[in-house]
Amino acid sequence: MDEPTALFAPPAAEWRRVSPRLATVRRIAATITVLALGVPGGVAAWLLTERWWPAAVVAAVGVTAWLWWWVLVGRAARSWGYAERDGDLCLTHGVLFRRLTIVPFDRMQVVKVTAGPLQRAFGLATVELVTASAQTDAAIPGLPEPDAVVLRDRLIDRSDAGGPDR
Amino acid sequence: MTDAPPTAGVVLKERAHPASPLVRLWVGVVAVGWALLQEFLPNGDPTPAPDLPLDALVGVPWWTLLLLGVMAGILAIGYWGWWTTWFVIDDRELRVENRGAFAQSKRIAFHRIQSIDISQPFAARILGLAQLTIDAGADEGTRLSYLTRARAAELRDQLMARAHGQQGPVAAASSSAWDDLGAADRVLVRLRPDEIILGALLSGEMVALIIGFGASLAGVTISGAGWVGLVGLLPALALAFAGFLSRRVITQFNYTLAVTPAGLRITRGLTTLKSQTIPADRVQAIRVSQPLVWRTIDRYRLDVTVLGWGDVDGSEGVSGSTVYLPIGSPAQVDTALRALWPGLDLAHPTVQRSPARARWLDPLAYSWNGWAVDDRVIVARQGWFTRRQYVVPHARLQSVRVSQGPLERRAGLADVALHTLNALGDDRILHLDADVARRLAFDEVARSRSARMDGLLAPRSEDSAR
Repeated sequence: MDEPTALFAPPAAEWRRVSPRLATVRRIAATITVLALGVPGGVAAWLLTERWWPAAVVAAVGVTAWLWWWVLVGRAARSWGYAERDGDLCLTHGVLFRRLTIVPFDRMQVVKVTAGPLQRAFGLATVELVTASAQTDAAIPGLPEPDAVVLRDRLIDRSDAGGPDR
Repeated sequence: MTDAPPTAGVVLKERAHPASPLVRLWVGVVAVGWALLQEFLPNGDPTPAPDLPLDALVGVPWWTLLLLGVMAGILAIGYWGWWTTWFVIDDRELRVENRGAFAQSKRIAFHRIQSIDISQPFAARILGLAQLTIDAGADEGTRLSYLTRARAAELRDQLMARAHGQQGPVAAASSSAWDDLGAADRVLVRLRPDEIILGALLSGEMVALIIGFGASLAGVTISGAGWVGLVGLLPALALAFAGFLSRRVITQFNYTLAVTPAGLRITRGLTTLKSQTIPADRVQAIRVSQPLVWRTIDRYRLDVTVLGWGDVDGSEGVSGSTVYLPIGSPAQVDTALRALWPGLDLAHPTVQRSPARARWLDPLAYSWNGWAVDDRVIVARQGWFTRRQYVVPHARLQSVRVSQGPLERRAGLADVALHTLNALGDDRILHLDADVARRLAFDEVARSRSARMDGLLAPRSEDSAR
């Protein structure tokens, strides 16, 4: 099921993929989440019941979730792709639930580059596209920061090219 | 006024109606009046009538005086605001000038005016006053409150005419308490109260209410609480029913859709009369919906999203309700749709259905799900309990998304979502053949781009067609 179906085939030559470091960032975030939830949970289970095995159950669940997450995050990060066409930007992502969003350039109102502390530590940034519709919800995470800035500027240029439209 | 702004080219300069502060505070005024009345009326015990008015004041509790003082203070502030606020119309713009403690001047150029709504809250309506809400596309609209009803209608027509680039005098408007129609207006659809009540009674919300109460009734019976539980439940039931019914009926009462020289206009409301101009060129999408029970009486409801109106929730939005037609027969729906977008014919484009292998994914709605395209709009159909049709003009589409879940992947199906300005609910076309879905998405983006280009080349094509 991993090979791309025709439905999500690249519209142009091929999908441009995001940086593989995105997976690392997401894995660190997942580790932090698991630790932040699991350690207090395990300690609380141990203190409240005064037995060792509830804490062990919590630890086992935490480790399983973490491993599962580790694998999924890699696939999810690899699933991101985008392609610029003449009049629009196509982007795709998702492993289990896949999606392909097409945003015409002349519908883009705002193009943002954002980066959290973890992304910045790895030199990554997210490019967000805002149209008049809240449902568009289009963002490309995990671009190397210089690429993100270049992409943003190019998108803004191309969104103007369509002319004023209201 | 010495502190008034310069008056070059001023066509009109006036204050709001002197009763405006009272109307704005009417709840407080009525409450205080009522409290005082209670205090002064003989309340059973035989107190001798006071000989002098001053004597009457002696027995008055201190809080009454305090209340009166506060009320007077608030009213004084209200009147200060009224005295210092001017509406000015010159040859290019409308200004709202306030030179009270704070100076404020709001300017609206005529060509920026998108729509003007007239509303009459309950107290204003009793006094024959009305409020103008001027929507210039940006924030929540400028309010002129209150004017006499005739003056409000006249001003609205004048401003709308200016907004459309006309000069000179405008035909006089009427000033009935029940609608807002001028001599040149043509009524397209008018709903009788019984139709609105019937629609509310048979709507999906009502069915949900009945099911909910049936369930709790069954719960009460089974748990053996018996009469006590029933007595507790009935008032809640009555309240919920009455609340829902009255809200729907009061807001939509005497619904009238009319074509006026300034555009489409909807007037409705029992206690609060609202007169709304629908800017047809700013309508982004239409939803035609039919709750399950309405299928038996063959009625439909229309909602619209309009640029700058906020989300569709069936209630009052920023400048008005998104309910375009609360209930209507197929003929009325057709009339209302054509008034908005001439040439739109929902029966015309052939509906493409999902392939038969999609049936098990959505057995109840399968026979309704589908989509259709003509040269101006794309139509998406879905829903089981409430059958919905979304009509989106190609030129109004923001973006398109193809999505596929694991079950759909197994069956080789996919969904296509049409993103418009505001969500009209779930706007996906469900369970298309994967190849069809992909082709539809890319074709639709291309259609939307060329439709926008046409719009740029001939921006007034919609108007000239009307």
